[in-house]
Amino acid sequence: MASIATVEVVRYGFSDNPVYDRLVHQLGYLAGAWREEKTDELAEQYQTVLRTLIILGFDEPLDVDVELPDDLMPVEYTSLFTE
Amino acid sequence: MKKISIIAFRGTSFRDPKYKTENALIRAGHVGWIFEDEPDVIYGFHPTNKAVEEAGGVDQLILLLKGKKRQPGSIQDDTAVFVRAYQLAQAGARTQVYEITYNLIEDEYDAIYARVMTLYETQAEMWYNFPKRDGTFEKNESNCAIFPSLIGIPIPSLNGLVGEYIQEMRQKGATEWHP
Repeated sequence: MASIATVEVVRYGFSDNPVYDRLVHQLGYLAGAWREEKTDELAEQYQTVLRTLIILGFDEPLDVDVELPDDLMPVEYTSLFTE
Repeated sequence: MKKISIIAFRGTSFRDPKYKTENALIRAGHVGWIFEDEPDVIYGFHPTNKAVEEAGGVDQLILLLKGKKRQPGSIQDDTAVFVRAYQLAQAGARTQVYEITYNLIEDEYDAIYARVMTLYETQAEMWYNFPKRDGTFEKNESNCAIFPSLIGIPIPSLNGLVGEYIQEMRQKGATEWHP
């Protein structure tokens, strides 16, 4: 059985991994919540979920409306896409 | 009955260096619509060029939207954007374009068409923003995904997050679009 880290991300970036899907959905919720309230607590929750995703092997760029401003995105994420 | 199609693609993201010179809508993802009587034109709603200039560029505009600072948007002819998304998808990008079609009674279709033409020709400005936590918007705000519903066009999802919107669209039977 494939591990989570090796589960293939299907065509067009839509995951076939329900764990990824749930966590990305959670990021969308938290990004929206942060836009509404802009609290450190929400930013920290967001960063924790994103770091967890990365530990699980997720390495896709997120949609822009699921991201926080750059200074709040964890370096574990931004460093995945530096040239 | 007459048809209106909702058409959408997921963006490449603003992170992938491979696409950094692409139009901002290619990187953000976009939703538009097609009228049966005008099948070669895809209309879409997004921030105006003036809004981009006043923000100081695309990156600054995105930063404002991430901070939930609404921006003026208008209906524009985005046909070339969807064609480009299709071309990039053919080359492996995650920008496959999906289409879902709705049948409307002619009176309803005509009323929507007239509304769109008025808003397009006058370049009327309406507020564009990113969604709240549940994918909905503040009053009088929307984005490309939810805007069509404000002018009477059926939409496949009430979630304004483009990725979630397209996933729901696919679950409801959207097909792959090609120019």
